[in-house]
Amino acid sequence: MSAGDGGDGGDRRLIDRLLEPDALRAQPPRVANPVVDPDAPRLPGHVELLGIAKAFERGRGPARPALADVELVVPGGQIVALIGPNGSGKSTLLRIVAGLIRPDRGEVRIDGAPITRPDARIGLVFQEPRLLPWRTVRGNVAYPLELAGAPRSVIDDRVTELLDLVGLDTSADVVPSRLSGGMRQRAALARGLALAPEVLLLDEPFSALDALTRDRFNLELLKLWNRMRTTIVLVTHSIQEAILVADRVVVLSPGPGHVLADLRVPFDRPRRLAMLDAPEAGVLAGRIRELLEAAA
Amino acid sequence: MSPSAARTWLAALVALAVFLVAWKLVVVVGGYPVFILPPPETVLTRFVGAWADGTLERHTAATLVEIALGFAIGAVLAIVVGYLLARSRLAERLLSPYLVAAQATPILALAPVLVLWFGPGLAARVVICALIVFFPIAVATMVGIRAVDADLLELGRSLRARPGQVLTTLEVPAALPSIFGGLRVGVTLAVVGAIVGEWAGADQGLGVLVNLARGSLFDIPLLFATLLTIALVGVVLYLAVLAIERRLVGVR
Repeated sequence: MSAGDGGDGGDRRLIDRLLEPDALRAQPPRVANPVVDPDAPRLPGHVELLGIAKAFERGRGPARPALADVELVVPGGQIVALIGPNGSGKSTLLRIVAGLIRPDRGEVRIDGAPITRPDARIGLVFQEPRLLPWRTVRGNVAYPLELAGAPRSVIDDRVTELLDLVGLDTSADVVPSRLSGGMRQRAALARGLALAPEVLLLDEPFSALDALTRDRFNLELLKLWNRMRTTIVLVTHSIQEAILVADRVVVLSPGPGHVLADLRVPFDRPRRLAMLDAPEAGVLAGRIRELLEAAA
Repeated sequence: MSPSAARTWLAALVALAVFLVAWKLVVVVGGYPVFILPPPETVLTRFVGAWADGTLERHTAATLVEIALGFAIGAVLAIVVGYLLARSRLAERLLSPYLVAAQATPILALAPVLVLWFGPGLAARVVICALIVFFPIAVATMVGIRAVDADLLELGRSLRARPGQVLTTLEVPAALPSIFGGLRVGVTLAVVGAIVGEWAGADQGLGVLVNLARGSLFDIPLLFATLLTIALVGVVLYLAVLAIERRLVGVR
C-alpha cells in the first residue's frame, strides 16, 4: 500500500539527506522571527492547518467533536506552543499533523504538500518516552533509521552524533529501564530527530519531569533548535513553558477545540530563564490565563 | 561464583541428599523388595551400567529425535497460528473450538488413532509430540501478541514501519517473554508426547524401555533408571529453553 507510491524513492532521498555531513549542523541563516515578516520567503517546514475538524465515534451515541475548524499557519523554523484545557484536542491535532489520524474535514500541508500519512519530514515525540524496552538507548535512536533502510555505517555515525547532541553518549549501551525519566525523554527526543525532520512535533514531552529539570530541558531544546532550526509545534499545559520556548502561543478552546487566540511572545532569542520574570512575560501569562479561564 | 549462587547450589545439594535419604529410609523401614521399590544406590548403579552398555544411550537418542522434531514442528505451527488468532477475530472464531477440543481430548486416547493413520514409524510419534506442544504455545503467542503495547504500535506507524517490520521489530520482540512462557511448558509436554507415542507403538525409545523393563526383562532397577533418564531429559530441555530465553529476551 504505502511502500509502492514512491516510498522507496522517498527513503532514498532521506538517506541521501542523512549522508550530508552537515545534516545536524547549523542551517543557513534564517530570519530571526518569521512571524513579523509575512513576506519572508517560505522556509522548509512550513506547516499549514486548513479548517481541521475531527469527531470521534462513541459506541452508539452521537460522535464527540474534538476539533472544530482549526486554522493555523506555522512558518518554517518557527516555534509554536499549543496550549489549552484538557479535552481541547491538542494531542489529536498533533496526531493529525503527524499523519496518524485523518481529519474529517480540512487539510494539513507541509511545504504545500498535503499530509495524509506519516511522513519522514515530521518527527514526533510523545508525552511518555515510548522506548522499546528490549533495545538499548543506541538501538532505540537507531530504530527510525533502520526502518527507513539506512545503511549500517550511516546509522552508526548518525546515532553517535545524536546521542552526543542530547548528552546520552555515556549511556548509549544501557537499556531504558536503567535510565532516569529525564534521560529516557532525551533518548526519545534523539529518536524524534533521527530522520532530520523539518517539523518536530512535541506532545507535552517534559510533563513528567519536575519543574527545575523541565526548565533545563526546555533551554536545551532551544539550543538544539538553534543548531537545526526545525519548525517546532509544542503541545503543553504550562503557560511558563509556552512563553519560555515559543515564538507564538496558540490558545485552544475546550472541546471541540478551535483557535481562541494567537499571541506573539515578545522576546528575542536566545531565551533565558530570567525573561520569565520580565513584566511582558507576566502580562502575556495573565492574558493566556484569562483566556483559559474564560473558556473553561 | 557469587556467595548467593553458592548458597543456592548448597541448598539444592542438601535437598537432593534429603530426598535420597528419605527414599532409602522408606525402602529399609518398609522392607520393600527390589521389584516394588529398589533402593537409590541400586537404581544409580543400574543407571550407570545401562548408560555404559549403551542401552539407555540408544533409547534416549531415539526419544530425543522425536522430541526435537515434534517440538520444532509444533512450536513453529503454534506461533504462526497463535499470531493469526491474536490478529484475526474470524480466525479465532473459526479455529478456537477445534483447538480446545483437540486439547481436551487426552493424548493417550488420540495416540492409537494417530499411529493407525501415520503408521508405526517416526512420523506418528512426531505428530503426537507436535500436537501436545501446540496448544500452550499457540495460546501463549496469542496472549503475547494481543498484549503488545498499542503505544508502541502507534510509534511504529509514525515511523512508517511496513507490516513486516512491525512484525519483526515490534510484535515479536514484545511478545517474546510470553511466547517463551509457552515454549517452557511445551518442551516438558514434548517429553510426555514422545513417551506416550512410544507406548502406542515403537521399537525404540525410553517409553519402549519402560515397557521392556517392566515386562519381558522384568528389570525393575532398569525401569527406575529409565524414569530417572526421562526426568533428566525433561529438566535439561527445560533449562535449554530457559538459557535461550535469557539470551533472546535479555534484560528489559
